[in-house]
Amino acid sequence: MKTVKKIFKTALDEGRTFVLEDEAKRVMREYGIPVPPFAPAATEDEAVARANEIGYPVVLKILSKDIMHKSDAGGVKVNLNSDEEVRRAFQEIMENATQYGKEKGIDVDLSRGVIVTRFVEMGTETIVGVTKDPQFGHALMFGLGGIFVEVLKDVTFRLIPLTEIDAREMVYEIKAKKILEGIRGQPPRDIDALVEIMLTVSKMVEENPEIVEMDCNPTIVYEQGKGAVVVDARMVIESASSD
Amino acid sequence: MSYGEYDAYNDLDPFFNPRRVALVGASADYRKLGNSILMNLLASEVEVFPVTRSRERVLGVRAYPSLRQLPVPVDLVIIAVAAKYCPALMYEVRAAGARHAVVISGGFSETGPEGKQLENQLVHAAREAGVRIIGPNCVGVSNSRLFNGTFTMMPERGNIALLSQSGALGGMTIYNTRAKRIGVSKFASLGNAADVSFSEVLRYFTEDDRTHVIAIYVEGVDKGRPFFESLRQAAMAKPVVVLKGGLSKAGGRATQSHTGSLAGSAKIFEGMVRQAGAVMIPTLDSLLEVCKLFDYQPSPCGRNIGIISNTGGAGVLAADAASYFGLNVPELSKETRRELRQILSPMAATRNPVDVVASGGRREYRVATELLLSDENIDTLLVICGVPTFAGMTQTEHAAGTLEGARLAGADKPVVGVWLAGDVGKPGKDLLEMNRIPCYDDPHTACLAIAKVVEYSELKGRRTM
Repeated sequence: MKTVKKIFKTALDEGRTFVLEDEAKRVMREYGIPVPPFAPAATEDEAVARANEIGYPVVLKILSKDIMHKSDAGGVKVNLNSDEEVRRAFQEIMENATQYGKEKGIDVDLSRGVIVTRFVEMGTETIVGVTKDPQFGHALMFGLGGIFVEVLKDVTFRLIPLTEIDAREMVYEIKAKKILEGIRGQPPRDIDALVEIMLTVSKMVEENPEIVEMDCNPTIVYEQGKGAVVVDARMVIESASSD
Repeated sequence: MSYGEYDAYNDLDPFFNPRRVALVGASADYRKLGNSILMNLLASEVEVFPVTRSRERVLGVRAYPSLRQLPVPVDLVIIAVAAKYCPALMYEVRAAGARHAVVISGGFSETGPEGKQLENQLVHAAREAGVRIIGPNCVGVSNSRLFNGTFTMMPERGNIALLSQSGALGGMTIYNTRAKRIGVSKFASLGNAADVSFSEVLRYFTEDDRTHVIAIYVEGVDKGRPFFESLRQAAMAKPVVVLKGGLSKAGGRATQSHTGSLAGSAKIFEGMVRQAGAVMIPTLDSLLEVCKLFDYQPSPCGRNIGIISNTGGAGVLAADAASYFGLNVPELSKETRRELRQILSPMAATRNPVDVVASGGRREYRVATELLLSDENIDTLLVICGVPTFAGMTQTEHAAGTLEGARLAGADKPVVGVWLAGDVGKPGKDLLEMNRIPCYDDPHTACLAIAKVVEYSELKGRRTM
């Protein structure tokens, strides 16, 4: 896993504990966690080229060490279907980010441009996360996305490393589990694929304890047999020496 | 630290099974802890050696001026003198033949930096002298079959080990074991846990044959992973019921991510307990009540409960509580319903919950209990008596009928009672509990206990699959 260590080292060398989305996704891809096709693009032309390689529709998201919450800064444009739309989105994102910087009184670094990713189909939104508890160390969180996590705090935790039994218990422990089991005539969701992601994240953190916080949010789960995919990833690391 | 790295059982056993016990700070003054502890020790099945400088006899027993002057070696020393004398005493403990000391004295890390320093000195002296210590700042330890080395009551004798971080709360819980007549095997309050840790005592209780269930009151955990590991090992061997007090500061920790802000240690602790295969309960009162069911009755095979009552209202409340705790109240088999119809009053309800109506007495309770326990749709039976003295009935006849029915059925399924009507219901309740059918005052508490027992069996079942 040299690639992973190199990504973390690059971030720390640049004085960042915040791992950029393309970096986080490369780390996940190394571990075989399904993420939609993606590529960084520093310029408008590059963004168009990457979008054509990935295939429409695509999403553009800002890549900047100064912006962790991308939507808050107007740094996300979804469901783009043509070269023209990609160009316009790129320009708007750069303008929004500059404006956001002015409001916050920071000089936002725009040199990395954006990350271009495939715009994925809708499914059931879940969140798989990691935190480091002062007493118990690394723990994995699971919950359904959106209001379930924001308002209802319908989430559950287990210490890392997890067993498959632990992961399955987590899925069936949340109050909103019926949504995953399939309600109102909907087929059940692909819980096996979700469990696989949870176990892989657990393994990834076990092997890279410098990861102190992480959100795979949303992790979209499709109907049984159709898999699950981590659409957005946010990751925070600490320098290995502080452990 | 791996489990079984050293022999926790033999290492800690003299704390719980001493033959000769010395008490430093023995006192004839009833206002001193050293007096309460001495009285408790004198009522125990151990040889007692009071140590005090001030007199030659205390409470009629020969006393000694120092540990060095004891006539025979002792196994355990209990210390109840001012904190500043404690570190130096460790060498005398060893000289008196003991490797184990319970330091009841307060005035250590709980008081601030100076106390913390004194505690470090105490631990250092103990390690140098080769003495293990429980405490300081604790209520002490007791073994209900042998001795009471605390300044609280001797617990009711039984099979539940009680491990408490808080001294006062642990002491209070002991009073409750007497009031509720719920039996305890061993009790330990660890106070500041400067040397012997929570995890170590947990391992001791795990291996202790006299302990069938472990009840834990815990606030903060310093070393989370060893705690988790010892909890997991314990829960594999026997039921462990956890009451958690206090939320950690971690909840307020500034975090940059969603997961971090949602964590807070309470949720992580909850997940950790489930991961370990133990169960958490919500209130102090339910700690012993839930342990009682674990102790008295076999484990259930599933979530289906059958309910018998002599009042419709109590049956409805029980069904509501069951559903609240995720238990099922299934249909009874056709055969069971047919037999119930033949035997019970025409006014009776023969669907689950079964209402034998107020005229139903010993015979009706016997028949309904036997039939429901024999029904394959039922995993646990909840028997409620809401009206114990209807039209000339005796106070214990419903309980007697329940016991007879359970004996006739001979099923390996848990039976739980709920006896209402306060003191009027008490003779029936006592009869059931004497026969190890746990009996509660409220269907809600009963269903909580059933749900926790089911949860434990499910967690254990999944892990041994």
